[in-house]
Amino acid sequence: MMRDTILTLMNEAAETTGAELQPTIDKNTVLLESGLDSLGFAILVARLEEELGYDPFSLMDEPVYPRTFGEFVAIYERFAPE
Amino acid sequence: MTNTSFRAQLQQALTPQSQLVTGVNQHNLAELLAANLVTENTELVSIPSQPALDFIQSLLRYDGAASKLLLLPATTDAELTTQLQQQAAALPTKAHTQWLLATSGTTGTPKLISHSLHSLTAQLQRNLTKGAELRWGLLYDPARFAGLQVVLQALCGGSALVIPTGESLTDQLQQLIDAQVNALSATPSLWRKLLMLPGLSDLPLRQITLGGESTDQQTLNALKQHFPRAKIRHIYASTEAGVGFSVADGLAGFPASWLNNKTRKLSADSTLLLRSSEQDQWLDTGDLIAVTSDRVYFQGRLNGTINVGGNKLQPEFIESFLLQQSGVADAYVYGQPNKMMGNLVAADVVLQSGHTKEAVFKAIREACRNQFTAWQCPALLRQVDDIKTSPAGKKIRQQARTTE
Repeated sequence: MMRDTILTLMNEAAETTGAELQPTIDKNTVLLESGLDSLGFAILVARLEEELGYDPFSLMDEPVYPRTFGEFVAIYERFAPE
Repeated sequence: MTNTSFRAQLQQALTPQSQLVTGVNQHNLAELLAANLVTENTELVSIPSQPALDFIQSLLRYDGAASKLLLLPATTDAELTTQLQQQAAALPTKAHTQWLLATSGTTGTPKLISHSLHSLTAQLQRNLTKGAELRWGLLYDPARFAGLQVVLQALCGGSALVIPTGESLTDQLQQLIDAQVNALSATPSLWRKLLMLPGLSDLPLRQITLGGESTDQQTLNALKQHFPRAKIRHIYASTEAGVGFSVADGLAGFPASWLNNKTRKLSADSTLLLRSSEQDQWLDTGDLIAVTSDRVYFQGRLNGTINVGGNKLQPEFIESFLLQQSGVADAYVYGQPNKMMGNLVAADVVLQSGHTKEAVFKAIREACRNQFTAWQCPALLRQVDDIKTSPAGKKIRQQARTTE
């Protein structure tokens, strides 16, 4: 499950940066309020690229800025290789 | 000793133990001397480092006879050889035979540095009684500064010199063990690889030298543990300056009292400046140093910084911390390009056997979080089998790496 992979690596990025994640993260959680800072997100995207083999943000023609956790997961699902 | 040729120096240094071993072949040095009489004068002689026997015979034959000896490391291809020969031919001749060594050149074309045999041998140990007890192993390319130092120390110091053949480090180590090598010089990176080989303790080492990269406390401690009776020293040398110094107290860095004199001082950029007795000008080594009340520590290269969102970091700073963590055999830290932050700190880690990636990485994250601020902690940890080293035995440091 994409959602679980992302959550696992969010926790890892939080562990690396010493951030405190919100106790529950669901599809409506606003990313900027999730607990990760910009360094945390940079690490998350880089780790996801390592694990999944792609970085959707470098694949998209028009830049999309996800606002919620649900949108973030949807972007990764949309760009997943067939 | 300015005009004393290599032949003459070797002749004077012969002891009953003087010997050259290449692979499984043993050569008598007195016979080598007799067989390689000085030939006619020539301008420039190119001397490839392999086969090792030919390399040493050419040095004996041409020092004093040729104007310039161009020493070619094994990795020099035909194109680079031509380039170096052109560089060499363009250099003005001097009264003595010039020994031309190429810099290890981590970036760009290698540069030729002209040495005299006098300057190359100025710091050798000449006590032949002690020298006769040593059997030196050569793991460096003899056409590079560090390797040539081993060759000259062994041959001009009355010792045996053992040059292993073959590519695999395990095979080379076995040849050193078979030849009862008891003195060995290598980079800290290469020592960490040797420490992972089961046979290392079979070497009857009495003299251990580390050089070419800054030496960390952990590697010194591991060597001390393996070889409690060996004399361990780490040396700092510069191909450009042709000088260096060695530290034998078993501690990383060097005493602060060695700084601020005629040959060593701190620059405004916090780098180490060196001056040899033969030069008037100070040479900026580009090596960053930190000075505490009693010790000077190397901090990496001035141009090797990783930039994370505008914050700058020396990879060696994190590397030395990682090497102290349980289960870590070696580590290489570098900047991985990242669109959001410019770079992220990435670390390749070699695990010691019997440790799991999950446990070690978790412990590393926790230890780094307690020690450093968030942006300094390795964001990307990767397990690797081996850390690549250059032909000179140093970790290959890149200014930038692409995400692959």
